[in-house]
Amino acid sequence: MSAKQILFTDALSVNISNNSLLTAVGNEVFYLRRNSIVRVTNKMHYKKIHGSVCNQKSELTGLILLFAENEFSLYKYDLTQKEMFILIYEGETKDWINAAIYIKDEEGCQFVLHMAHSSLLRLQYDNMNNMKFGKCTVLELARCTDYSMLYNTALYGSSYNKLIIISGNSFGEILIWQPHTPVNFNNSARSNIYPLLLRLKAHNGVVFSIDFNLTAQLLVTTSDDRSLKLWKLNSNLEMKFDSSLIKPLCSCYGHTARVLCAIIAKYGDRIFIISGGEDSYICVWSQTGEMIFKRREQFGASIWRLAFDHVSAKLYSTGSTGNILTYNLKNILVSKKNYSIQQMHMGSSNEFLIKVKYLNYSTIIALSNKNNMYYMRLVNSQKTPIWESVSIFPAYKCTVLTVSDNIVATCGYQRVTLLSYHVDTGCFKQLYDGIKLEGLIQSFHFLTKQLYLISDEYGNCLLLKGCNMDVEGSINISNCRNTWITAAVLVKSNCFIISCRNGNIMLVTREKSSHLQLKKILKGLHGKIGSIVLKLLKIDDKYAYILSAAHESTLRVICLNLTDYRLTVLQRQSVPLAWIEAMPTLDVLIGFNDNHLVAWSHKNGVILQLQCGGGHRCWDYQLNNEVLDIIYIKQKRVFHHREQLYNEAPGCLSRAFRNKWHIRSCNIIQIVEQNNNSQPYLVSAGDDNIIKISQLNGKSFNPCAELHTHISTVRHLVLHPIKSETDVIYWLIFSVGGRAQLCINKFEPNGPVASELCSHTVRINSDGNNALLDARLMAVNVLQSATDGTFFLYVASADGKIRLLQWQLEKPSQLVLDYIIDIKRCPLQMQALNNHNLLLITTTNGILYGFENSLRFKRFEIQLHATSISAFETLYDGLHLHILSGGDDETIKHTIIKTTDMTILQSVKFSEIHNAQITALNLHLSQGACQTIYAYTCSMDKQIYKLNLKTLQYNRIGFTCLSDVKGILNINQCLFIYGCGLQVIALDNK
Amino acid sequence: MGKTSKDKRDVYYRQAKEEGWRARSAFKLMHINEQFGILDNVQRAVDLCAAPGSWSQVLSRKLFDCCLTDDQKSEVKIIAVDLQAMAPIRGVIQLQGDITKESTANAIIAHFDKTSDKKAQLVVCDGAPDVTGVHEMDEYMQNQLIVSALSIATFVLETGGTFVAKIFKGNANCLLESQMLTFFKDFHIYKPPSSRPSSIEAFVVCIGFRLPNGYIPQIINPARDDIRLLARKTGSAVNRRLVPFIACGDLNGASDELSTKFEDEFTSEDYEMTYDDMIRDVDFPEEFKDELEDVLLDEIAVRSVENFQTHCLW
Repeated sequence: MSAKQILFTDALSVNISNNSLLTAVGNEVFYLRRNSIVRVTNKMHYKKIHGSVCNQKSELTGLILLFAENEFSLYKYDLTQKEMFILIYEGETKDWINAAIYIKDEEGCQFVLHMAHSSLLRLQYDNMNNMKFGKCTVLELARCTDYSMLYNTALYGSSYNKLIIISGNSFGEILIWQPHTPVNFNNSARSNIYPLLLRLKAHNGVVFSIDFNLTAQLLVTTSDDRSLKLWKLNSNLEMKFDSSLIKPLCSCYGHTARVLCAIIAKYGDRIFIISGGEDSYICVWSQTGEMIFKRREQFGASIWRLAFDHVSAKLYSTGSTGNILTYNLKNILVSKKNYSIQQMHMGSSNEFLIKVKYLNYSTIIALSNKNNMYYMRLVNSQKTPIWESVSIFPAYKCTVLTVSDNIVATCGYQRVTLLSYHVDTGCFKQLYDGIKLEGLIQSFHFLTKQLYLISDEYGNCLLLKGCNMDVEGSINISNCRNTWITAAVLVKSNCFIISCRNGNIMLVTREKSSHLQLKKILKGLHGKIGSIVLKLLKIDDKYAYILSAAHESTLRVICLNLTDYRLTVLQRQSVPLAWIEAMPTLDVLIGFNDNHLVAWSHKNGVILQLQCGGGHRCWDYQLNNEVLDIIYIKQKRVFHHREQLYNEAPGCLSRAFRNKWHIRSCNIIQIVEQNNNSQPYLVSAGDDNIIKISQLNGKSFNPCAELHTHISTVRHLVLHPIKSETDVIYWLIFSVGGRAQLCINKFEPNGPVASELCSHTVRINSDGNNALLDARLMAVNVLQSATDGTFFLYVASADGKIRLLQWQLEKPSQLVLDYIIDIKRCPLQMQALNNHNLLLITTTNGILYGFENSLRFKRFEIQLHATSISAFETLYDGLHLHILSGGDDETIKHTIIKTTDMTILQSVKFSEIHNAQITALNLHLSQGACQTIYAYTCSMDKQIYKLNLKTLQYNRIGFTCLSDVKGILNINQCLFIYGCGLQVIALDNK
Repeated sequence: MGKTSKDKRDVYYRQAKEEGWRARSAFKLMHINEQFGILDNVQRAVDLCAAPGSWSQVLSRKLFDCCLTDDQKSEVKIIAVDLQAMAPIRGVIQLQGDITKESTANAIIAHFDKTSDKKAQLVVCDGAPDVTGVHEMDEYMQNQLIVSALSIATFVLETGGTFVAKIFKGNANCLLESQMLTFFKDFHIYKPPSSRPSSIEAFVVCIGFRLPNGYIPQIINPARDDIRLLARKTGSAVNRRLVPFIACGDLNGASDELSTKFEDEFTSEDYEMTYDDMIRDVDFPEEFKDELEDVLLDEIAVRSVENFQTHCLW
């Protein structure tokens, strides 16, 4: 098996020394220097690398120590050579290695390994004869008198007896000891026990990480209890370890989940603490415990490790999906506190501003509580900008202030005013001022520069044109009070879409001038709230696609059929914002989470969090060359904040280790093969509730679309093609998962476009009543009737019920129960074979059931395995049905069934192959004259085997480093292994 | 432990809330009982790593509450051991202690009827270490916990007793089976329906406890203690061979580079005696007899530990 192409799994090591970076994703190690990436060959090992130590001898040479679980290996490197990294030693220990360090001041090449039960192995590497492999000698095994299970250890020191060992255990304690003055002193022994010097209750839960800096006299610990703690470390080097050594400074709360790592960073002459959490946030803290900066960094995945380059101020973070991301903290670290937030004073009068808007990138317009209008020009001079009065504004109480392209519109009771601003002269001109509607005007929308839409509290709505505000048409959108327009978008010159405050989306057309017609209403797109953002994404001859966002965390895409004006909801997307308010570009959304203003990017995740108070305040933004300016009013004062949105450090890293794979375990992948030789699509789903569609493109993996219809984990999905005479037009995706949810979505490879059809809760019983509880759905299978096109859906739920449901493409929201059976045990895998009138189901107690497709008759039942059958594949070779099953009983069974009478011809058991439960199988028929069935198998033991089912020979072809493997696929001579991550391994062409 | 979300609230979660169980895991023990009848006729039970106490609740309801008379009730002893205290449960005696300590084992036995030398009929352990999210590490920690739970069970179980413990299905189930069969007649791995199919947890159910002849119960901390030293602690030659095996599946005993520093305290007579004991013991598991037979005969013949080349440094 050859080099990896794709590996998305835990990245547990990152290490900076001088100009280079050593990092690991799963079992793969990479050395990065000056924009080039070198893969350190680590052929033999499949265990994930948990840490590394670099010992640089010169600019280009040195030693690297890697440790993985209980194994370690030593590499020699010389960057001038062709083969840069050479393995020179490997060994294993009895216990889990959780830290390692070189001891510089000791003679020869000495290092120590620290293990999870407070034991320390002091080793010396020698290579007397300059052979390829040298020898490691154990100089001492040192153990501490305490032996609680440690989750993390930090080592410091350059000589062995002065090593400082600080560990954290699951009781929230910090333990400190040193390998000097043993309690059982014995000169001849190489095994000594040393006293625990200090035990300190630090946290209310596991201590996940420890870092300390003696010159800064600082110790930082992070924990399960969602906090990090800073401690003052009295560092006279002849330490006396008692409670006076460590004094608590402060506790820092800012993460919303467990804090997994923290490092002490020095930049200039200041010390910072940077922490990373399970919530995917990094936080930067000052030495006194104030949070300086917070940002979501790993798309929602846990952050495992951090490293800080004190020269460039780049922060590296590694996460559980194999992303290694960089962020330049320079601007944050050099600036004084709150530098970025400026207050824009009104002067000393008791007048204050209640509404502010950007007029253009350098001018702000505002309305005060005394109904005066002001503006402020932001010039790049040392002079503080001031608010100047717009004297021509006829002061009246305004409900609306809106701006477009240097035109200011204000509305109040019945009245509308339009002003224009001349950028060069800085003068305002009144374009219009007059009475337009009968009630309080609540909205003013610019459809174009010349076309406006206003509405009042009674739902009266006018389309106005030009500076004279000629009435182009009128319409009443509701009879209820307080229903006005919240958003509007012009789709074509004769039609526009508006959203009302009651949640209705309305399509309005203008057939003849001055006559507006309400064509279609789409109710409750965002429940009972109106859209705040309507954006035209794409328009062609037939369809227009419009994106809608509201004060909720879901974006929706609606499709408008331009011929019959039908409005359909196409797709939704969940974003980590509680409330969306603006969408400056297609990539960026701005909204609120609690009392934070948040800017979120599809590509980068959360890019700005600004504590400004809640969402019901007046604010505005200006996005210019990736610089986002925010103005907002808080406690009657105006503030300004400027942020560089994409502050990534450029370089090879930003491309090489960046993926948007599932952030939780992936449960299923299905392939969309394309006829026209183009690259296949993968449809995957997992515990992160998301269905992802990606395309394989040579060696890269491109995400194409996401479906956010599931409210809980997705367990299984199947694809069904909808064909025309000649070709597949699109695919239906049937997916099931937690909370008894079945979703049916549509995927068109040309585009590609993913759209939602329906979502159902499957819990209906044979008596027509609903089951009391929503059992998780474990598997789904689909057959389509050749006569009338009705779909037959087999849905297996965790309570043992197997339902046969009827569904029609024409009536997606209707689901009819055809039949239900109860097999009493939780089903795991299911396969419907149309040609053989057979539905196969495996269960958690090892039984394989065969039912007729109607579910009315059981054709057979075999106890195939002693326990759960979690892996299951079938293949029909033209004569017989081959069933390969893998169970929790660590055996694989190959069963051959005669399809006519369901007699079992043969059942071969392989029990010697794997030594853990088998969770992934793949069957394929070899091409050529003699058809042989091969299988690839993978198990929790991480071994990958190839089986020849004819000769019954098998051989191990490799390992995966993924844990909790859920499946294996064979696509284009590559094995795709998924579970806690994704690994693609190229098969040798033999 | 970890995150909770509404999403995780399934059938058993709600049922647990309705029926007043402290955690949904109560159903796991009930399902194990339905399958294996482990609670039948049990009067003395120990719940290791008991907090928050849902398994103790099950024991209380099934063993204590069903008793009709006070006399019967007084016969029932349920002992819940944990490092942290938990809210009291009817009929359950709480013991705050560390299961990696021998003193805890003695404290448990002290609660049973000393005059008739009674021990526990059932030891259950639903404990799991605090998970880190790195599956390999979590499995490792769980294996450590299992050995601790097993070693305390060897102290407190009576012959024929039952042992139930949580495992994370991983790499070494075969090994675990052999380890458990050293002490029990029957071994099963069972995943109750109430355990989420997506979770890697399962339970070992070991029935028919029997101490191998000559084995003296002792606390084993596999990763930490020097197994060789530990193996010799009780002075029993059986322990010397079995302890390394229980701790880390090592049938070679503890031959490692550091071993040269120990003086061998056992004479060939010790080994001969042990060998004879083992051969005579009909209850001794056959597969270990084979293994140990070779080893013991070797020891008797050679009487010295080979300092062979190995990559295992400690």
